[in-house]
Amino acid sequence: MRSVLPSMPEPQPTEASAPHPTPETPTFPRVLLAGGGAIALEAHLPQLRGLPGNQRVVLYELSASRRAAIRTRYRDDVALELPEQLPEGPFDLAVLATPPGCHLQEVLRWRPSCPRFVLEKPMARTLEEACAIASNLEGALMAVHMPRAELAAFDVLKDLYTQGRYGALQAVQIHDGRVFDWPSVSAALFSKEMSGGGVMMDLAPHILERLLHLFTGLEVEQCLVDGDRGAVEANAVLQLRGDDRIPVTVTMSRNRHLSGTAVLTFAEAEARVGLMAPTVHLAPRQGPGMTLCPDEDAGSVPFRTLVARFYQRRVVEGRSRPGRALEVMRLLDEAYRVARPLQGGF
Amino acid sequence: MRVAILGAGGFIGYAFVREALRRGMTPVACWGSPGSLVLLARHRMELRPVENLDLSDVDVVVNCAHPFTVRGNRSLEAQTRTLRDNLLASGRPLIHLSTISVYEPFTAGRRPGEDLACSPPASDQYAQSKLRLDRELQQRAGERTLILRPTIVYGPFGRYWTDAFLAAFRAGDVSVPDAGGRVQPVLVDDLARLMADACEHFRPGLYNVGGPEELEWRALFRFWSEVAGGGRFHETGPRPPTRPQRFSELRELARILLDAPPLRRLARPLVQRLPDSLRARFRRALGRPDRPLLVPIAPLPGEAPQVPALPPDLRGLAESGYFSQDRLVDLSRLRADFPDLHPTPLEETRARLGDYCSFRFTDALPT
Repeated sequence: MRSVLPSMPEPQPTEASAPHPTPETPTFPRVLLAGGGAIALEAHLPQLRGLPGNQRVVLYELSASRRAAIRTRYRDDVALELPEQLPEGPFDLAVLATPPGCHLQEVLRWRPSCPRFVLEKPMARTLEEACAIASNLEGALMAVHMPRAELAAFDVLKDLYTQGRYGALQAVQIHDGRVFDWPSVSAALFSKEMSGGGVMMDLAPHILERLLHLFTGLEVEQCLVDGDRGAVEANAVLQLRGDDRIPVTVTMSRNRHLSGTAVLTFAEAEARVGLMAPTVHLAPRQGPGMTLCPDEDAGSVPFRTLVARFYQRRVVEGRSRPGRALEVMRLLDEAYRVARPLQGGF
Repeated sequence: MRVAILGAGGFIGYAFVREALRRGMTPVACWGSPGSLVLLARHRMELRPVENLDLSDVDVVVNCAHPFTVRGNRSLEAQTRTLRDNLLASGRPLIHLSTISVYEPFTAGRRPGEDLACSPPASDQYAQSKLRLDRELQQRAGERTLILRPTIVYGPFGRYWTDAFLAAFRAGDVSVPDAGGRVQPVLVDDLARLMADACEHFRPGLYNVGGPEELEWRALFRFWSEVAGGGRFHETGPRPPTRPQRFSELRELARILLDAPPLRRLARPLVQRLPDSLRARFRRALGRPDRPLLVPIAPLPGEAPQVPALPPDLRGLAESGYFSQDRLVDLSRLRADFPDLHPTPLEETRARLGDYCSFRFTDALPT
């Protein structure tokens, strides 16, 4: 199954492949931000202004009413361009904060005038689209925005797992979800045509990325979704197997207050980590529990800090890991392929 | 039967959607905020945005919507105008959900009937705006409008009278000064059944809607405590008489000004820089509840629950003495005209609400 994925080595932009020269430490004088939704304004825009050498952000938004709202909010901002027409390149970076259904067409549109791309997660609606994006971005930098990867807690879990300090890993359980409160400006998150699915397309990329960090191999065994009447699901349960032997259960929801934790059960201990937390709580079967803090921040890490780390590591330093983003898409594709109705609930 | 539902993604609206689907009606869900689609997205139905809404192709219009907050750049007044215009323009039989809050202030032992001349306090913006809309609909479309004024409505997905209690008790003990006030709580499913009956056999009118029992708040608190399986309920005794609020006119002026979107935008960056404690005091001084509480359902080992004795939704009510006052209404008209409506006693909802609590607030898989 994995063989269908195109090989995605870390890109090394060259004079020949990039539209304009890319120095050792890149600068980003002119950046394109496609999409004017909440994630674009609240997460990406503040970071784009902080990129080395940034002088201008061109925000490209199709909706006239949304453009008007953005113009009102940023009317004194001379470094933000909000064109009525399609802007012209070249750009030093293109950030696609559009619904996943638009990513491929946006990549095709901007690739000739841009050497680096950040895509909001999920990378695309389907694996097929994701592969098309990857092949069109060959030679360019492609980073998919999954900021939970910037927390170090899973490094500790991986260490516990590979070193076997508390015996063999027996099971992984992840619960992620809360009553939906994202300030969406369109209904794209609820449209299968635009987002490719529902809660699973929304939350699973983060979780699968972390699981791929933990395991060498990950395969889907079962998937249950409650949007089986043609609509988009609000609840999903994904069962996977890590490294061919470890059962993994992922529960996701948009209308439940789930605990937002990953629990790893080892033969001699239980490790628990908040999915947005920097610390690991370890409870050995014998002896006192302990809190491990591998992150530079001991307290809770604000979302904007994770986004800042993402831009520094994945965009400025170029450690973009496109292969992992494709592997996430493969798992999502497989999950929807085997999905069955989730019974119960309200 | 095609039924348009405004506010279909809300608590009562969604209960009605489920009842309508169960009866084989064709719901048309009208939405004002994409976020409200989260429950509806599970069902196959037509969705229409409320802007430029055309309801000429439906048989009945059901309104469960009411603007509570500024959305985007739209003030409460602008949203209310859109709502009113949509309801009046439809030209269809209309079932409009109002509230017993229009009878504020309540007096102990008195049960206002539907014909009472209402005059809620000017500071009660919710009751005022509900009453204005009731009157406008009665005057301009009275012959095709059924107005329902429910009491305390509880049940699955109810933010105030269900989730706030469950969240509070799951987080720990809950204490209020005095919970001796009486209410007639009604299960949302019963209200949805009534609305669906009214769709099928429409008649205009005005009805108070309540449950089968008059219960003290302390019984409700204990019930929620048992359903949540968490903390216990305590009464700390009647509150000392409160001082009249100083600068009440200034507070009212600040409240009105801060509802204007341009001023909200100006004030937001300043307010966000204030320390949390000062910000909370500022909000309370203006009579605004704190932001909805995110309850840590499963606190990590070593972490103390960061939840106050009451979530903000309930804290404001407790501090105002809300739970010590009777809020009873006359239900005789409802019982006479809808004799087949047999509302569910609180105790009979225990198992269902226990399942809901497990679904909504725990990691347990739905079964």
